[in-house]
Amino acid sequence: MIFHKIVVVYDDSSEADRALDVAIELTRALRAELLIVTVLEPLPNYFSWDVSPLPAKQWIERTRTKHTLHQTAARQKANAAGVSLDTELVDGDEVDRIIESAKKNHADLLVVGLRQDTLLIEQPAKKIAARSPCALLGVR
Amino acid sequence: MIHKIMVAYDESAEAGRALQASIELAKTLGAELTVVTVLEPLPGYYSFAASVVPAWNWTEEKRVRYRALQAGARQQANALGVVFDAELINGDEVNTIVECAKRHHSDLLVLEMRKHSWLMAGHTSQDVAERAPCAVLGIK
Repeated sequence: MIFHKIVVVYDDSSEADRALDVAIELTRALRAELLIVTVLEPLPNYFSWDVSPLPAKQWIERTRTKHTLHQTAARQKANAAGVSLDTELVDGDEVDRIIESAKKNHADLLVVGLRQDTLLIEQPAKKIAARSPCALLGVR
Repeated sequence: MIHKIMVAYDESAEAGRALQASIELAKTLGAELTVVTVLEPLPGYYSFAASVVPAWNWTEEKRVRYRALQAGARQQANALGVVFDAELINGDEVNTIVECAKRHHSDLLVLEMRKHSWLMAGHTSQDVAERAPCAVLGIK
């Protein structure tokens, strides 16, 4: 079939959830493989005012746990629909990491969630579109 | 979840790939497919012509060419057992495609995505993607 490897950009937003729903459906219909990629957001700048590196470390740990939990929930949702998925949790620049991950995994479809409340497409999604190595599905 | 697919189709190679992908998707998902081709307005330089015949010829010639193009697309779809509705509409590309997707209540709009196209201001695919009422799939 046309799409064999589907990669979803996933985080804790409702846009990402909608993207995941569509991706699960497509994966099942096309008998493709599914991978969800979450990029950890960068450390907020205000941590640089701290006297100790401990709060920053805790923040990173908390964020990582939060996203891991979200990915587990996504896996359960996919399994309930009879689809198995792989997860990736990466650190760094959002757009760079996503493109890298799509290339590394030989994705032929990249799925991103688009905001519904505004017609403007967010900057990251535009950048992904410009640099995507494969087809791109924007879900509203 | 995806019941109605619409694809914007013209004579470019990318549009051909977009068509192929939508045919396969429509087949796999059991969705309805609509192929829309936009006849762009007459180039401005025809206003310098001494008679209306060249302009009329230009429009007619383009219409015939696009009809033939859609007939070819129909054969391609029929070979895979997919039947689609075809629309040939006069007007501005972006508006027409968006209006058409709204009118048909499409859930998925398939577009060709030329290299770097979404990055360039004022490009058709990006404009359509921003204003589309539904999910947008860009095919490279």
